[in-house]
Amino acid sequence: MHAFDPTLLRGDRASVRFEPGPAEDKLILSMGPQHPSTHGVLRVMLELDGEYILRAEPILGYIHRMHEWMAEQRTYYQFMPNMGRVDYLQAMAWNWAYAGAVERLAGIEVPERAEYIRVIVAELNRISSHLVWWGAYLLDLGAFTPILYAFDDREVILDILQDVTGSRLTYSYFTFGGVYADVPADFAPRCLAFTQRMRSRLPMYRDLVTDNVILRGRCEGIGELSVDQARRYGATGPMLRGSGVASDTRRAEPYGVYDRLDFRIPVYPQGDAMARYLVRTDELETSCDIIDQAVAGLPDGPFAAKTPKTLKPPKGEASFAVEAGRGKIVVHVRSDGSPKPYRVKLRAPCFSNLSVFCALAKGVLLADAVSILGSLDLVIPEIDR
Amino acid sequence: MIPAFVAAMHPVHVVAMDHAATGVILSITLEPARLPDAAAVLDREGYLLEDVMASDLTEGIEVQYHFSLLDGPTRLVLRLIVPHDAPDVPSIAAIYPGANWHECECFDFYGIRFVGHPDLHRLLLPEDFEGHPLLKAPEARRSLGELMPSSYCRACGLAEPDTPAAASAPAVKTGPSDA
Amino acid sequence: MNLELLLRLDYPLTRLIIGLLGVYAFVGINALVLVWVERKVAGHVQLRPGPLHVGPHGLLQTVLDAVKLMGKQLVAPAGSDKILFWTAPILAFTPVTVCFLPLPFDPHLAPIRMNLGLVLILAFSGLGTLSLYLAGWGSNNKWGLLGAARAVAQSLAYEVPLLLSVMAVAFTAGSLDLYEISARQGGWPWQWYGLKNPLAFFIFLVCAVAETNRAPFDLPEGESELTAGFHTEYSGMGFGLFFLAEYANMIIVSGVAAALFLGGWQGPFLPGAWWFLVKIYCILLFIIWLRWTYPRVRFDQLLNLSWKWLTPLALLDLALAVVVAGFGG
Repeated sequence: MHAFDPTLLRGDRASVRFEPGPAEDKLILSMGPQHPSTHGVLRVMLELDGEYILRAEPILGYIHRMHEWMAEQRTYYQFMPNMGRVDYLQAMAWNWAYAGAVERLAGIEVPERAEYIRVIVAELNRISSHLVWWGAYLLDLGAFTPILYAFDDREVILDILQDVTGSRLTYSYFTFGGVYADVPADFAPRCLAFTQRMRSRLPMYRDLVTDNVILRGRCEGIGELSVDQARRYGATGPMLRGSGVASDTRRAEPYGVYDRLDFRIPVYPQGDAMARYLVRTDELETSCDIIDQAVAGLPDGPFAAKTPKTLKPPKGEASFAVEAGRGKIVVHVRSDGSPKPYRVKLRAPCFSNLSVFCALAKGVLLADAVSILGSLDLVIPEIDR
Repeated sequence: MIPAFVAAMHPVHVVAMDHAATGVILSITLEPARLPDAAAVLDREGYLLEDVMASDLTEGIEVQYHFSLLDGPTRLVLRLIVPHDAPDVPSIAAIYPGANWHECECFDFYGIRFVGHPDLHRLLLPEDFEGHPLLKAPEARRSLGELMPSSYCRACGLAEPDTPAAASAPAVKTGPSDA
Repeated sequence: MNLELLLRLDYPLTRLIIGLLGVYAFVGINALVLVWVERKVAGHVQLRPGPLHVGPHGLLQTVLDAVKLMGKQLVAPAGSDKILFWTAPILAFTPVTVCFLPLPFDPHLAPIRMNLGLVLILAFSGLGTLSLYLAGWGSNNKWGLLGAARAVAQSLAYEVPLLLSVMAVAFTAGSLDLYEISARQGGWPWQWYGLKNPLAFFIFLVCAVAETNRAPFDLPEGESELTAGFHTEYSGMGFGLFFLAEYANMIIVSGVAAALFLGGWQGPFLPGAWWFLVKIYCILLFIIWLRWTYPRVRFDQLLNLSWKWLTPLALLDLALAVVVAGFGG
């Protein structure tokens, strides 16, 4: 047994650089990359005074896979499966953003049936993503049971989407000009049965928190985000809608057939974790509304446009924005006329959402920092790409 | 139409784009030194910083800043090009704190040095990684003329208008046949 | 020491040794059963079956888990204080033995009858907190340190209302001997102190859950905030001892609650010891049910609850009990 060698604990750049301030009695803590409530491999360096956080700094890169470099090595078709791995919980939204950008660039028209199918599967994906967020958030707050109820509902969605796409999680269902395969015959009745079941469960999702004094104490007044702050950091999605701004890409830059569908955008003005909680639980309901309308209006026709075997979009660049469960996804594609993209930029909403965390976590208790992180709805692979 | 505040940015080129075909409504090319003032103008106008990205071209490294309002199809892009041997860009992290991480990412992948950035470091790649992976080999780079559609190049003066009819064409990307 | 003396059942030392062996057996078997009950209750609350395959309905699961834990390597992190690190789990488990001695399972079955049984239990349960602190400090781990600090503050805060509520019952019964207090109640619910002094019962239950570090007051262990709090660095039998001590402590506080508030061994039809066990298990089920239903409070909310709500209420309750006992008789 050799003696303990203190130089082994020198640490990396993050821990060495994060020296404590001049005052004494401050604890430097590294939360992660292995931690039950950082939702993935996120590391947050904390400077604590007792249980109060003086400084918080996220450190990224633990799951960085360089998707943008992979895009330049692959053809347009070959890069589509990567989109499911960027954020596995809303793979459909990333699929759509990439397919939409390339379709804009190449001028490909998507048939109407495909647009409706895209809307339905994207909204189902949004519900399943919000259910995971809900369960994981309450698990962070110490309630061990709700995540299993949420996963029970989520199983129904995963079964429906498995019959449609073949995968349970990392879908690669979209293609340029439509979707990869048509939906089976029982798709529409199953979706309607699911939305009916989901609506009957919604009161539980909402009331479990709004009626529980312990949970309200953990969510209300925590992590208040002003609109100006959100704007300057680039936080989008429920971060903005929870701060009182009715900003939704499905209304602002309508894509697919969202401009034909009637749905409410939930907005809450308080800007705290509770407001964001209510926005997301309300979105469970609005997604059910959208699915009902889209299933009712699903037309017959082709499910994909004819595209050449080797897609060589004309030179130029295009951006496509999609409202995902976490915020606004924007994919920029630049083409030089060759079969491989020249540049693909993936704008992940969680990247900007997490950058607000440093500002939100100053001066709060450690338990509140966990609550704020949960209310940001982070998926780290999307941040690191 | 071009909003009034664009003039305050002293742009090099301003091109109105077709949102349905490109996703942006305005493309503004700037001198790198003008960038902080342009960002301040956009902050006053209430724009949200979406993204900071870079792309390696033969002329240099093009850095693009994407802004949009909180509502509506209002995405605009600020572009600037810095040479490969001196990739220095003023940082806008003081005006838009969200740019802090985006600029670190551009430094990580392209080696762009953001002057005035509070703490420029490698964000995603390991701290002892050498090189900047998204830079292309010189023979793989393309120039703006080879990457942007002809209508854009003509509007920016990057290509000569070859016929009087083409010179009076609207500064808008009209579709894939315009390659 | 005369060996013949030792073999006589009325010799006090013999009775003590048999009692101790009985206590260890009881604690051991009960802990095993209790872990199984907890996992089953957790499972069914969460719409899943819980352990199912090992033995009928998973009954042997805990046994095999204990065997697995005992087989693991005992690892201490580099830089930890070895003495404190290994003392902590042993210290967590030792007071359990002492605290079991005064519990009145039956008029004829108390291992030791002592007139200060209540004080003994309350004093030795404080040692459990010391073990948490040693564990957190000795691990050389910042998460452990935070867990230890929380454990001390929480324990301190909830000792006070616990003592006050217990005092109220002691005044009503006129004794600190658990046997006496149980004997003064009757077999029927309306004769129990739990219904005569419901406020004390409620305060005692809340403080008991907080003292045993069970959810919603499991902050020292705060899984989702502090990785595993004070027992982050423990694995194998060290962790097993903490685990066992937690369940043993739960049994002790349930036993005290049953003796103080639910009439102890008294009840119709069945012999005393069975009723005592039934009452203990009812309270245990309630504590387990709480864990899987409620989320965790935040630390300042925890201390607020104790100092601003429970302590004043307990003082009020104590004053009322004294008045009633003084004038009512």
